[in-house]
Amino acid sequence: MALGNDFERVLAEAKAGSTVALGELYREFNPGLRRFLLARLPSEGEDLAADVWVAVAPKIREFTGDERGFRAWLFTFGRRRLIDHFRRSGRRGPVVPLHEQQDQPSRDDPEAEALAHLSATEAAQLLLTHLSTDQCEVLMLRVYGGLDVSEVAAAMDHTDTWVRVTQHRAIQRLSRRLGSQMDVTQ
Amino acid sequence: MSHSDDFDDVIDAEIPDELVEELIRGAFEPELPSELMLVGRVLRAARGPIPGEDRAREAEVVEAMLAAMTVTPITAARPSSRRRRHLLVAVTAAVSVLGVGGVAAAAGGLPTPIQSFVHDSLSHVGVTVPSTEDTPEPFGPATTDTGGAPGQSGTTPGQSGATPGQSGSEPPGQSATTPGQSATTPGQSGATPGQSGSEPPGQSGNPPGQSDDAPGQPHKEPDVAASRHDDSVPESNGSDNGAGQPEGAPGQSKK
Repeated sequence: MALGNDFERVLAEAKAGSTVALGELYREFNPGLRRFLLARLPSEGEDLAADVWVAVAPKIREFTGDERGFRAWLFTFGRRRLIDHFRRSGRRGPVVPLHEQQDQPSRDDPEAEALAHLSATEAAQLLLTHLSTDQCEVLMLRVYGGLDVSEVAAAMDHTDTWVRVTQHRAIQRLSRRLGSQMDVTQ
Repeated sequence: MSHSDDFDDVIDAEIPDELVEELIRGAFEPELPSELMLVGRVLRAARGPIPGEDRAREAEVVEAMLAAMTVTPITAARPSSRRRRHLLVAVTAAVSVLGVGGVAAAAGGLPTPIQSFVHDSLSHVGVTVPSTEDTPEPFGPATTDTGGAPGQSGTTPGQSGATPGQSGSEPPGQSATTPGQSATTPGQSGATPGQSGSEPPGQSGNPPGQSDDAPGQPHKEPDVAASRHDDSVPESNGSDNGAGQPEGAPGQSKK
């Protein structure tokens, strides 16, 4: 659900300090941001999302652009916050073995069991486990943030081509890993 | 870039671009190859709801955002920049007043009562300033004019800079009386008279902190000298828009 034509008005009111408008922006954009941050940082993603909003707030007045631009802007903040967090804690991201995060599928119908009951969190963990950091970030920005290739490229300081290559490789890799995992469980 | 070559390879050999986009959008194609179908399911599942979002959190965050918006860097920076500007004006005024006053005193160009007052006062501290009788005539009116013009003392260093150069050509006793030097190292100033002439006017009055740090030097002396120089150039003091008033104030009360 997007704010659509209301975005301009909501943004103007938010810039003027309207609590209601800020709440609308938060409700519209936070689920994706939160999901993106939680996927990368399950324990602290929630707090990090709040940090991002507080960091963004004083700069909202300076923002000019449409709804997509705002989303990309917000996710760029989120991604940088995440990088800062990992840099401070001296790591690149959570490394969680898949078998610890995912319930073991039933022997009767392993494929159906494994994927039919896959929650969003587990799906995120799958991406995180099987993909490189860049691949994971590209897919998450695209899936959770709803950003297009150019917006992801801008958010990650890369070219469009780099993003396209990375997402292709991510999907290839994911398909290989999931396929082989299914083979193993079967 | 090698990435683009890789990109072409990937596209041609493996997954069409449109299919990748569909998978990312969460489209589910039953007729997809099984590996890609799994990818599609995972990406669709990733779009599902994540529990734990609560409204209380939203209220907290929005409140924090509002607080962050009201405490913008602009309001935080204003006082400091204003303070910095005041400080800059005060320092400039002090430097100008001390420089011009010092040069005028050294050249003996101050008004007669002030010149004799400075002469008497500084002679107690061992600093020689020409008395009114010794004052050379050419510099009298010139320096008086410099001090008398409100804007000139603070804004035209060229004028005050020219005067020290001239005072450098003066007898050693006169040029040695630049207030900054006399306040910091009286002995040296007497020994190297040419320095006061070559030194920019700002330097002579600039380091009040240094004068305090000078070993063996009475701490009060430079301030007294400075305030007296302020007295000696009341017009230039006024031209500093009050920024130099803290230093000039004691002198004015003495008047």
